[in-house]
Amino acid sequence: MNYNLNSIAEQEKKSSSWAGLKNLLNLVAEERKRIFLSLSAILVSASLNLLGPFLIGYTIDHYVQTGKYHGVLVFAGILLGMYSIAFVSSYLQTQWMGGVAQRAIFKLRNVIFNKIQQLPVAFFNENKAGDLISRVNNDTDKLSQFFSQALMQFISSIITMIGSGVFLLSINIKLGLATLVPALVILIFTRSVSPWVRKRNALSLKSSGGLSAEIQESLNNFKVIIAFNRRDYFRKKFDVANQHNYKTAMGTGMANNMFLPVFGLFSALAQLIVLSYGIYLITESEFSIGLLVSYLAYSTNFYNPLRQLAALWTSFQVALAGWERISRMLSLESNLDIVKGSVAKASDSLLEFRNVHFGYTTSNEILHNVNFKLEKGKTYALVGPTGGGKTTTASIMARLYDPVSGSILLDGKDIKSYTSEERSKKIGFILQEPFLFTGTVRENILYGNEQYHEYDQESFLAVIKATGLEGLLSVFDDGAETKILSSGDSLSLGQKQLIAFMRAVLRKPDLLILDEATANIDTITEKLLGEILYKLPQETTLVIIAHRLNTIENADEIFFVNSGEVTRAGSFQEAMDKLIHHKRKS
Amino acid sequence: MILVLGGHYVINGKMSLGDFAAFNSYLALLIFPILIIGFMSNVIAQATASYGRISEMLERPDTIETGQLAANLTGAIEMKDVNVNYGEKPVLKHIDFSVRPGSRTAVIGPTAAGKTQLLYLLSGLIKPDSGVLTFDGHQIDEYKSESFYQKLGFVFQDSILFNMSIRENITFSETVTDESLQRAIETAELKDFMESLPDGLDTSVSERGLSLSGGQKQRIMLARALAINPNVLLLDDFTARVDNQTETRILENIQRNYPNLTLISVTQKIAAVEHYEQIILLMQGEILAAGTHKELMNTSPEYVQIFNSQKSTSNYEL
Repeated sequence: MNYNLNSIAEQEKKSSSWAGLKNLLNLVAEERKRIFLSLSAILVSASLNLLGPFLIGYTIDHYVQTGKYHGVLVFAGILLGMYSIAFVSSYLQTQWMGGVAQRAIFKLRNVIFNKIQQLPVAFFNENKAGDLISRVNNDTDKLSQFFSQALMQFISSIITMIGSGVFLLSINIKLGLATLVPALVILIFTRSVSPWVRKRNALSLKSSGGLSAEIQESLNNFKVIIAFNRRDYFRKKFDVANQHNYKTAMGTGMANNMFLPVFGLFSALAQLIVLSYGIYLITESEFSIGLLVSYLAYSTNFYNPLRQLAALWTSFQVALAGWERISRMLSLESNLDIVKGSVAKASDSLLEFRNVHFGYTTSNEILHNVNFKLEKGKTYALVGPTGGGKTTTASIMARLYDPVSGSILLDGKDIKSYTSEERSKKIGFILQEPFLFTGTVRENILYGNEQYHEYDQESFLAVIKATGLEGLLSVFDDGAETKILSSGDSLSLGQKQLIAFMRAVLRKPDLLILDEATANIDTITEKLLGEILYKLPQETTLVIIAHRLNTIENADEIFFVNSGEVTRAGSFQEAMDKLIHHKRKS
Repeated sequence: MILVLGGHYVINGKMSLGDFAAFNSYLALLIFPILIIGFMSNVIAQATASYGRISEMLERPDTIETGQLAANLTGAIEMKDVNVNYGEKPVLKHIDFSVRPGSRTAVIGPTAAGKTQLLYLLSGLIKPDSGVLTFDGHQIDEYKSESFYQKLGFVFQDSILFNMSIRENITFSETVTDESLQRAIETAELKDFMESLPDGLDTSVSERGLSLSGGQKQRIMLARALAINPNVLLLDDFTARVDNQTETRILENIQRNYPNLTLISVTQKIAAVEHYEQIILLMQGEILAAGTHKELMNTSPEYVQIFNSQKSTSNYEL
């Protein structure tokens, strides 16, 4: 499965604006009541605003021209009342929609984040973190702007336009038709350029995603950049990305701003038509002056919202482009699906590899036809030169990846039939470079531990003591309450490995995989770790990847991993011989 | 308002009906910009808040480049009573030691002893809170940072790779010559691996470098440090992820290809550094003992303890 979001983009065919709008509206489907309220508020304010000009025209014809001042005052009062009601309802509508938009975006961000959490490791290999952050933050913000500011104005503008159109046509059909001709031209123009504008916006969002990826990378790795004095190099790289972003943003800005002047031109044209044609009609005495005044007001009422629509249309196109980027991510399915219906066969082996082939890319196979069984309660060591496939084998054991062909049985059942919760309960995996969260040591150790996760300081320490782990806490300044800042930059790699070790041991998994998990820990502490492992329940199966022989010496069985093949070494001595004499291939 | 006043004027004949119509249209024109002003004041408020956040960052003082000296480090390094604190807590206490040009020094000690901090200190990533650190008699501040870092290579403990081609990851810029690039790759034992890749050096590394093994990443980090032809090389637990066979070859390669290099290596394995000119035993931020392997075996019980704990490992040289 292809997980590269930016390359998926190019394969996709563009959907129309309307289909896009429908998708966007689905986002807020749960807020129907509020939206309905807002809609009615809009209807009220729009229709009241629409009635205004008509009443003014009526007043002019019936009272002003005849000089009845009293009638003028009465109608002025009615207008005042109408306008205040319109004001109140439009205020309420803004309030409601603002809330709707914020909640919708809050929900959307949650959905996206959960999605990211579900996706397999391969997804993260193919996408840059910065670009993902930009999708979660920047793109959803574009949507939020659309919902809170644009959507209802959009609707209100359309209602006002339709209403004005109806009045225009009903007052005088000939004049009305003439007035609406420019609008038709605008409609055709908008339809034809919209897809292009949206494409430009998508490009611009993509390049700002690229920009944030650039920033993220150099922020994460600043110590290398400083120690190698490569600030200039990264400054240049950033300049290039920024320049690119600037260019696409400029192009997008040009495209976005094109609507406004064009709409403006045509609405001016329309007024010209009203005036000249209207006066002509008056001279032909088909039309009254009062009506012409109303008419002018209606045509303004028709074309002003149209001009607003130009601005809103842009915001709509931006939102659509953002939505496309987001929905592309949401439509990705994890390729590690859960297969139902695998029946457990009684088996003494905890984990079994059957004819497993694997490669990170299709062209480059890393593991070739791997077969082995791990029995319950035994300790296994994977040895072999760097790049031989040890970590890859371990990652497949923990189902970070699925094999290209062949199958893996966990407790006699296909590993694919376990949910990720069941699987991670059974398998503990300590990585070469453990990942820590900002928080305390205790929080990091208890993370994801169903049994102990609500433990406070005291009960936690009791558990630690019972497991024999308390000696390990002493390397942290404040013990279990030591603060961990910015994902563990304040700790040494050895300390991180200790936390990961405690985290995994406390979960009491059936299978514990240690991938060079103690490589950066001093040998004395390591002995302590060995003793703790020894104290694990009898049925725990251990898989240890290490270079240090003393960690391997106690293994029941040794597998030799080289050039993508896993072979069983009969004895410790045989493993040694293989290591020494085999030609390295990496 | 307009209707009332205007109506009044028109009835009284002070204003023509045409004027009134025009007036009405102008009013309609006026309303739209007023709406925009309301909208703009909102945008302006947001922009002001954003600008505040940005300028807060821009107004942080730049690190000032004070150094004038062009560094041509020989590798004579001296630390005198250097202390480093993180907040309240001392990380390194009264560190005193010196390194001769071209010599090899190993730093060993348990987890969280301050070994990595010591290397950060030597590379100028952190500054001593008190005490003096000199290279050839001059403090790091006195050197131009550009020339200082051209003579100092640092291999970090964690692998940090950028989402670029392997070539770019190693050279980082166009200033590294092909010759020194090749030498660095050979020294790091990466040549065979590079040749096995479809695009060789131009293969790109994904952001987190996940498609490479731990040892390969480490060796790329080493090649990066060697490609600048450093006079001083700092290794932070470099050998932890590389198997012993490769490690031995790499260390031999370094000796052969970079004969005058001053090497300071943080490590866990005594066996690999037994013959170094100086071994420093660091524990809880303090230097417990320093000297050759032989001296330490005679004088430091802690050292002997570590040595013994590794003995079983040392017996089997891979």
